[in-house]
Amino acid sequence: MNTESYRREFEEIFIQYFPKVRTFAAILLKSEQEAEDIAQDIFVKLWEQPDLWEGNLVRNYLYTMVKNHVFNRIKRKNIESKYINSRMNRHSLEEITEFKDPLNEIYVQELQLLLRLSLEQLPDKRRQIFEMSRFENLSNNEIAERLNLSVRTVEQHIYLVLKDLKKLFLIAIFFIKF
Amino acid sequence: MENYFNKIIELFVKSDVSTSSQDEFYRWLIGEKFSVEKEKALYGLWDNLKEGTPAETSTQTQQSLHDVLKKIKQRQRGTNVRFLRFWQVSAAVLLIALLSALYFPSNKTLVNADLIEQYVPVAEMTRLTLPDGTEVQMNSTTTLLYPEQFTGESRSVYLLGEANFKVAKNEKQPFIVKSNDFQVTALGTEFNMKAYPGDSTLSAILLSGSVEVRFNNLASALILKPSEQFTYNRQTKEETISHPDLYDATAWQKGELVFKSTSLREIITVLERKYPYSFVYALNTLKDDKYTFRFKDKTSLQEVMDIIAEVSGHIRYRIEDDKCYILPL
Repeated sequence: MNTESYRREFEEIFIQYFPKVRTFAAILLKSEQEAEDIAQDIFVKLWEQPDLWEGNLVRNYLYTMVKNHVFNRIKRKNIESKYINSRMNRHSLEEITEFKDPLNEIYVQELQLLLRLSLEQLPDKRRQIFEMSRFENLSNNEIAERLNLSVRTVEQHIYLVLKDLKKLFLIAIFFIKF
Repeated sequence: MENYFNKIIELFVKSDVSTSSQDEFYRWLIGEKFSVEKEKALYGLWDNLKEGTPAETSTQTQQSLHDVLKKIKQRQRGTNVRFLRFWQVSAAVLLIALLSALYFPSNKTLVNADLIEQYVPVAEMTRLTLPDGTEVQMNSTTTLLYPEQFTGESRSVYLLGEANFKVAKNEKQPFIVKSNDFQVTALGTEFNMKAYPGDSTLSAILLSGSVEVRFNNLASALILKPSEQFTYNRQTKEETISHPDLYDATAWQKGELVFKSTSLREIITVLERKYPYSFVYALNTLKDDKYTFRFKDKTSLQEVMDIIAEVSGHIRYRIEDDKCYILPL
C-alpha cells in the first residue's frame, strides 16, 4: 500500500472513531486530559495494525483497548487503600428507602451505588434534608427546627426523594409510610 | 436486572459526582462480581456514543490527529524491529477483537421485560409453568423472579430458595437460573437447585440431560452429568460432586422430609421452612451429632419433634402458639 493512501485511510478511521474513544474514556475517568492521552496512545498503536482497520473489527478492537486502558488507570488510582466506611454503607438500604425487594440480597452493592449516585443528583437542600432524616435519624420536627423550615416542607422534600427513588428502582416495591 | 447496571453507569456518566462516590463506582466497576453484566452495560455505553464524520470534525479532533501523526513519525525513526514483530502482534490482537465480536453480537437490544415475582410462603409448595413451557416446582420460602416473556438471548430467572426445573427444550435460548454468585445453565433438562440466602451451601442436582454450573462469582464452571449433585460452600469456597439418592434428593416435592446424617441445627433450618412455627432454642442445647430421618408427607410437626426428641435423647420440646421451644432434657 502506498504511503499516501495508507495515511488517508488511517485519517478516515481516526475521524470516525477518535471522538468516540476519547469521550468513552473521558466520561468514565472524568478527566479530559487522561482521556486524550489514552485515546492518542491507542491510535498511535492502531497505525501499526492496518489489518484491523475494518468496520466492525476496528470498533470492537478500539472498545477493548479503551476499556482496558480505562480499567488500568482506575486500578492505578489505588482506590482500595482509600476505602472509608462511608456512613451510607453503614445503613441498610431498607432503612434508608423503606425499600423491600427480594433481589436486595443479590444486588445489594448495585442498589447501594444506585442510591448513592441518585442522591447526588438531588438539589442540595433536598439532599441535606433526606440525609438528616435517614443518616442522622432526626425526626421531621427536628429537621424543620434546625433548618428553619416548616414540618410540612420537610415532609414534602422527603416524599419527593422517595418518589424519585421509586422511579429509579424500577422493579422495586416501596412502602412509603405517609 | 441489566437495568441496574445500565442505570448505574448512566447516572455516573451524566453528572458530576463527589470523589468518594467516584471511588465507590470504580471499586464496583472493576470488581469481579457480575462482570458479565457490567461488561454488557459498558459495551452499551460505547455503542451509544456517536461516531464522527468528516463534515463535523472538531478542531480538537484535528489537533489530536496532528499530535498522533507526529508521535507516529517519532516512533518510526529507528524502529524497524517493531515491524518485524508486527504480524505476531496483530495476530494476537485480531484474536481478541474476533472474540469480543463474537461475545457481543451486534444486535444491541437489551430488553428489560417486566419481572413477575412468585413467592412461596412457609409451609407451602407451588407448581407453575413459565412462559416458555418450563415447569417449576417451588419449595417453601422460595422466591422466583421471571420475565413476562423470554425475549433475550437466554431465558434467565432468579431463584432465592429451592426449586425443581423441568426445562422446555430450546437450544437457541439457554435456560439460566441465577442466584447469588451461582448459576445453572441448561438447554432442555431437569434439575433441582437449592440456594437459600441464609444457607452456607448451595447445591444443584441434575436429574436428566446436562447442565453447566457456574460458581465462585461465576469465575469457575463445570458440567454435571445426570444424577450428579454439585455442592458449593460459600464460606470455604469448597465444591464437591456427589451421587445422592435421587429419590431422597427430590423427596421434598412429594412433601416428604429426608435428612441424611444432618445436624439438629440444619434439621431445624429445614423444619422452619416446612412448618409455620419459629424455633426457639439456645445454641448449646444442640449437639453436633448427625442424624438420619425420613418423614412421610403430611407428618405433623408434633410427630416429627416427638421422634427427634426420642432419638436424640438429649432434648425435649414444647409447642406454644406458633413457637416451638427446644430445651435440654
